[in-house]
Amino acid sequence: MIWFLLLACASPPEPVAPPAPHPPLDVPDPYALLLTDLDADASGRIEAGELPAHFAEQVITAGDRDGDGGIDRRELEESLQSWGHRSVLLHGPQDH
Amino acid sequence: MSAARALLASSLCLLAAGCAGPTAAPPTQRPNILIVVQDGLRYDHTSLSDPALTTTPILTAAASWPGAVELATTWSAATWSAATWSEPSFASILTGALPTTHGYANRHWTLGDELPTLTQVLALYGYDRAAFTSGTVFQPATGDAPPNPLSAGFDPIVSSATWNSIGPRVDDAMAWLDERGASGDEDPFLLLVHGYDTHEPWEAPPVMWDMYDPAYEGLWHSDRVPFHGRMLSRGPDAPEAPDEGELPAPRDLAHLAAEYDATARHADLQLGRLLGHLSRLGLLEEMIVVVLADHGTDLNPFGKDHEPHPPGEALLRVPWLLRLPCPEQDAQRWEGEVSLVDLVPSLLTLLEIPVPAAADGQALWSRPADTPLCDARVVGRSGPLLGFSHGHAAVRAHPWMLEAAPDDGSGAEPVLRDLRSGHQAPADPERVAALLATLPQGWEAMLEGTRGPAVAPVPEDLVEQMRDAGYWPTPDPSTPREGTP
Repeated sequence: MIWFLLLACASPPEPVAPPAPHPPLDVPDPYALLLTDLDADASGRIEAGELPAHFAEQVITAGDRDGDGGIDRRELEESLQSWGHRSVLLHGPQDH
Repeated sequence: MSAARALLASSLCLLAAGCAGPTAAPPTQRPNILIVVQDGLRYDHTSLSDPALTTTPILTAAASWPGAVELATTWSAATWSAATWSEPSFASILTGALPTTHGYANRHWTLGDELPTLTQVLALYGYDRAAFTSGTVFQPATGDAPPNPLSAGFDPIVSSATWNSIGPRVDDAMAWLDERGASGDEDPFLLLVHGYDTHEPWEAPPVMWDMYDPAYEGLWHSDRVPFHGRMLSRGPDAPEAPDEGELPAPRDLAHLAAEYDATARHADLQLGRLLGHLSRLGLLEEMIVVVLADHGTDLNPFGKDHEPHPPGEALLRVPWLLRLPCPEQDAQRWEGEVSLVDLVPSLLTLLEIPVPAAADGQALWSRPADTPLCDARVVGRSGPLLGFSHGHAAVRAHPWMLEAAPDDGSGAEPVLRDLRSGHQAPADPERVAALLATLPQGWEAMLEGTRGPAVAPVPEDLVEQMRDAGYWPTPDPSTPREGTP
């Protein structure tokens, strides 16, 4: 509790004029990077032949929303977002 | 500053002995802070560790930004977490205190009054605080349960019940940022985002299945590894699982490590989504960005019935990037041993906020009084690194690492390892005693009850094969990487 008292002695900053804008940082497009890594023939979409054979059909089925046999950039985004919202991971114990 | 808060602060100042009155306001508003925690991400499986790896391209790009400092650069200069499991490690991350100080382990889920969390401190300085997390570590208490001190001060806080991907939490964070922008709220904020992609069981999205080992045709996949007595499944078309009791061959071990790498890639992709959103909102460039892991992993492919290794580099060594909004500062790698208990002292020093006296960590940056934030410089820390696992303590003072367990009457001696070889060092009682003496009083009591039931050791021949497969950090003769200052 003493610590909270000491902390309270310092006053929060008063609002002042914002600093000059900073130059933009380079944030790579993560989907473009992934597509580049998986799209071996650089066709712009991931096809079954570019994936491990034993799971290729499953993967394409999971991500090919328009049924054209491949996963393009838009479908890659959609499939990853829908995957993230599944509770595919386990409930666990309290300590981990 | 609200009138009520100002009155409270003034009143408390009058009550506090020795209070010299409010300090001078800093010249500019304090920056926003983003902390991203990738649960279980090992440093040596990131692209920071080996540029040939493609597991974390976004994190690696961020490490090159102006103002960025990568705090784990060579084998002689590691970042260690304070514990090998999430609860005590997060308590250390948020308080700057070691588990022996905060005691947030062994089912003692409270923190002392002298240990405010970063969240609570920043609240006093006008920060908004939001947390979007997976798992139970940050879940607010319900019913008659005692309050969860790790969730204290966060509002809003979202904590999923499952060990879920960081993806949904990134969605939550982006929505919160959008709402905040629409409301015109201009208070500085602390935003914590945390997910379990790189925590066992490692489950990458289908499109990333086997992307780092496409030629593998065996039966060992991470979702087929027994984990807390349960298994995940890739569906009816997946290959059969290994027979019960079967141990993986070296080729299988290498593949399981590659599946872990795929989860790291997915976690990194989600980091990229969040950073991109912050950039589009015009917030990224002017904020402090912190990316770290709360602990590593031993990539145990044997389930919880086998324990392959005591605490050490695999479980304790983590990535840590801290980027300041300083466009004139070149990115740098800091060559020195640091601990995640140094995060709170470092952040508060950078923000010109007093560091709680009970914190064990050290401020890695020096910021002279009344100077701009970007005049701050990395100064590092002194002393060995300490880490705690279920039943063990570890001390790292390169090139030595000591593993010690409380005396249980079995006569087990501490183990001294040479980090340069990865193997047990020749007997050296004086060195062992010196390293043992750096452990805080009470470390044995703190560990009581944290060790689970006895488990079978992994066969010795597999231990070496696991090392070859990348399960434990490959020994290195401490040669600094190219570009390391």
